[in-house]
Amino acid sequence: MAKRNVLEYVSRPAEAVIALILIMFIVFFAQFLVTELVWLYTYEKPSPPIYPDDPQWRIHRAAKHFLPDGTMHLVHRTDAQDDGDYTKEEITDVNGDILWQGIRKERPFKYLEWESSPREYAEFYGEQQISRMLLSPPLPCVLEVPVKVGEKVKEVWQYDLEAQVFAGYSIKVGLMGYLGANGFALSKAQAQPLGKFEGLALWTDEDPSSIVMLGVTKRRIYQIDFRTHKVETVFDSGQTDIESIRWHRWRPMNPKDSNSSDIQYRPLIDCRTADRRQHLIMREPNQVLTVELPEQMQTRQTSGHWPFKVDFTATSDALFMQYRENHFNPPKSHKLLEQYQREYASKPRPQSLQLYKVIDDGKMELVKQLDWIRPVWEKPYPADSREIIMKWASTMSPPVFDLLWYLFGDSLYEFGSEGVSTMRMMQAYAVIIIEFRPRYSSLNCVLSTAMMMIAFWHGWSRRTSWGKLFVWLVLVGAFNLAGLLAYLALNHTTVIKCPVCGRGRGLERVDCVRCGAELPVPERRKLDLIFDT
Amino acid sequence: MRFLALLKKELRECLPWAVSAAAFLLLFGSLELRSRLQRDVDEYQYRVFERYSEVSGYELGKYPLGDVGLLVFVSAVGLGLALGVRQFWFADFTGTWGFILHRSTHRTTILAAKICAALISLIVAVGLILCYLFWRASLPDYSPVPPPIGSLIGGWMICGIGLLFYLGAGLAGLSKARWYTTKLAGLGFTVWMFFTFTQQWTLWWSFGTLVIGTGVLLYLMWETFLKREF
Repeated sequence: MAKRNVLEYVSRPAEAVIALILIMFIVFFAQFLVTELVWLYTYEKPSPPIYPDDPQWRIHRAAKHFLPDGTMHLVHRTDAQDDGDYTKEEITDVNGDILWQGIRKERPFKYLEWESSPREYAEFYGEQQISRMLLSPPLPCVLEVPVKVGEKVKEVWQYDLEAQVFAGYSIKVGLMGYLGANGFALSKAQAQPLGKFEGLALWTDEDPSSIVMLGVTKRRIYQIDFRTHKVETVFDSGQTDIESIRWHRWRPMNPKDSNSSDIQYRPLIDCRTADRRQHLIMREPNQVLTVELPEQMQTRQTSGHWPFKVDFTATSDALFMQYRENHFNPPKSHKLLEQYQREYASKPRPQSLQLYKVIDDGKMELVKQLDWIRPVWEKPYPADSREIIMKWASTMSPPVFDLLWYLFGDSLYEFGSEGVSTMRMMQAYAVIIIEFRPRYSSLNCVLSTAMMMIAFWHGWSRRTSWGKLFVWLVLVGAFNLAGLLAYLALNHTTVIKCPVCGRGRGLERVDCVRCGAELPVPERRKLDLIFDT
Repeated sequence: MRFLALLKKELRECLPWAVSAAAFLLLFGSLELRSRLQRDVDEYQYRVFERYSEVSGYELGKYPLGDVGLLVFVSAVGLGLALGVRQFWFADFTGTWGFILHRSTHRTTILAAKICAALISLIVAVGLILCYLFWRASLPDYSPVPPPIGSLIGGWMICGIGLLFYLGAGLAGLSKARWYTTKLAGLGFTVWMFFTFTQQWTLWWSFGTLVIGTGVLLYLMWETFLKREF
């Protein structure tokens, strides 16, 4: 094959792919813009939902709290809106008998508080992302923890990404040592790597100049006190990976806040590992308790349906677990999720809230249980108009996205819905496919076919080969408007009237596609020196 | 010999642009480092956290070379675009284009000389100045906490973006398509690759994106340069 032909065979598809990608992005942007503009000008604030006067609804909507002795109360908000501490409430027992009415701030009961995710918990990938060097850093490019004495900075601890240790620099004398898994070391070689941090939580105590860090690696949780140069291994999961952590009162609380509750809590970290165990790490006194929960309790739900089914809390008297069961068992395939959600909402569903006491050997003892039926959920306000507009706008989307969704929908969903991914760009493409897919719309098929017909009509007289035209028609059919625009951008050639048959013919081809006549030779003119020489 | 002669000629033509970019980076980079030194001291002195509060990782993170990364980006992209436009869009800028094109040498040699001259300009005018700024920031009298070597590697990657923009501008300049069809596709592809490049979480992935983008643009440019009628 001639070198020139090889170049053609590679460069033409490359050009087509580049043009297609760029035009696709322009079309997506236009779809997004149209959706937002139409939504902006047609937006109507939804009226507050009105729930039916059904006792089961009342139970379902009430906040359910436990006293330390296991008594359950239902807290009903009587205000239409939540005004924080000044929200009007009505507290009843599980039988519906009113116990108290008033504003939240004056509530006479102290309920159990439950664990939560650290508020400022940062997923720390410890990589040097280019955008961080160009733009304002979304996460620390280099983590530097200052240690102050009074108003003056005494030391700065910089995280060394390669060695996975903290290097300490004294402001006066420079490098002074390292903090690794084995504590303080004078040289980098002596400091054992902490491991790659998956997440960080940092806080101050009564001294705001002293920062303490809880660093979570794949298999260990460290607590590092930079002021005292102390590294403590809070938990080592051995050979199992840590999946997530939640905590309650682990970091020191302001005595003013902690005294507001009559309940004495123990600092707690709830560490969930890949082997489906919950490790409850407690202080005062130090204790680690491993709990193996039944499969049903371990299932993490999709958002909006209590992602965590169980919560723990540790008081000075007991260790409690609350378990919420709504019998929402999403299908394994995310492609069926929307349908399942509709079906779930269309029927009354049994609900349950259970309070357990965790015994020292990790076994559970049921303390209290409340069961109720959630009535049929009918949305009391209209569907999100943005979704409807997006549905119309996505009729211009490539039908090939539906094919990708059909073939790899679950993988795309899982990939696209990860909180923070190390492959953000790929994640963005997955989200684009999910959000902009035409959802098997028949109008999309009609439009795609129309685009193919336009391309065929345009390409008929300009074609240089049937194969090329066929490939372009397939591309136009697969990518809809973006495909047609890419086709037009790369294949538009001038058409002249054939002097023999009188119909249009492209100039890219020597013979007429209809009558086979060759292109006419230009007439010689008087000053046409080329033909004369 | 012909290649070297062409290279010298191209380098001579790149020189004013390269010197301008180097002077810009050196001047503003030095100023940035000086102001950062003062800012660092102020930040450390006055950064106050509340008692009993959770501290966000955002508040403790910083880029050790300050806005030098942004200056490197501006210099590299500016130089890349200037050279791409100068060499291929307004090819007859110095009136030597026709002469060069009709020399008894292959077009690939001409293109290679142009690309090599641009590459050398980028390395010298941006890369080496960046090395100097990094070395300056590493001295103990500048800051007690030296910047990590990753900052320098990342900075060199950003220099690579300049090459990407050079090739994109060159491809757009060589294209004979109309501006509303695919004339600017080369630059569009460059911008897309740039965003892809910045969104990678590791320098290796960024480097991979850079290699792919450069490879595609280089190939298309070579092909266009060989077949285009001048």
